[in-house]
Amino acid sequence: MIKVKISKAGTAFESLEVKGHAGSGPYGHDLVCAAVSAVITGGLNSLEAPQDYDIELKEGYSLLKANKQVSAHDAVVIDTIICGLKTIAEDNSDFITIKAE
Amino acid sequence: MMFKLNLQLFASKKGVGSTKNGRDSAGRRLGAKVADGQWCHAGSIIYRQRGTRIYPGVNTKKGKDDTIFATCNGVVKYERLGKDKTIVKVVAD
Repeated sequence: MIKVKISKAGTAFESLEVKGHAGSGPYGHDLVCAAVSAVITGGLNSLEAPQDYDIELKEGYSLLKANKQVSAHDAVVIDTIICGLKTIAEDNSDFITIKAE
Repeated sequence: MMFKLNLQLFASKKGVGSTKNGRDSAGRRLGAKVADGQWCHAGSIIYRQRGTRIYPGVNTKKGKDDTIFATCNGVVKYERLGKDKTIVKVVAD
């Protein structure tokens, strides 16, 4: 099960943590994992100021933590990542859960 | 690009399944030790078996572990007993 935790201070984005294993198929054929990996990796690569964040991306774990005020461009990117994860979770709730704080 | 895409980043570990099987005991080397028409000493083992696949006949006896052995010197003979049984005997010299 992949657990997504979104932390916001009011409406300002603070952090996005994704951890766990989807387990929706054997290694190499795990579709939910592939979708989540693509959304996150693509999103992280789209950030215009990656130096303003603590970013971690490794097997079974990803963290995006804002250290400064998020720019308008990056706010859209982060919203796109979150929207992508929610879209995946809509039909795959057995393999991914999203918690917003 | 900052990050290279690994589509199985959030997949469970590579299949490293293990099996609980894979054990077996050594073979017990059962079966005929003296062939039909072969000469044998008294006391020599003729047939090793579990249960009575072969029944003891003349001049042979069955041991505690169902082993059939000769009780005198002579030539070994395997014969049919009834519809589906086999009997072994020793034709004394």
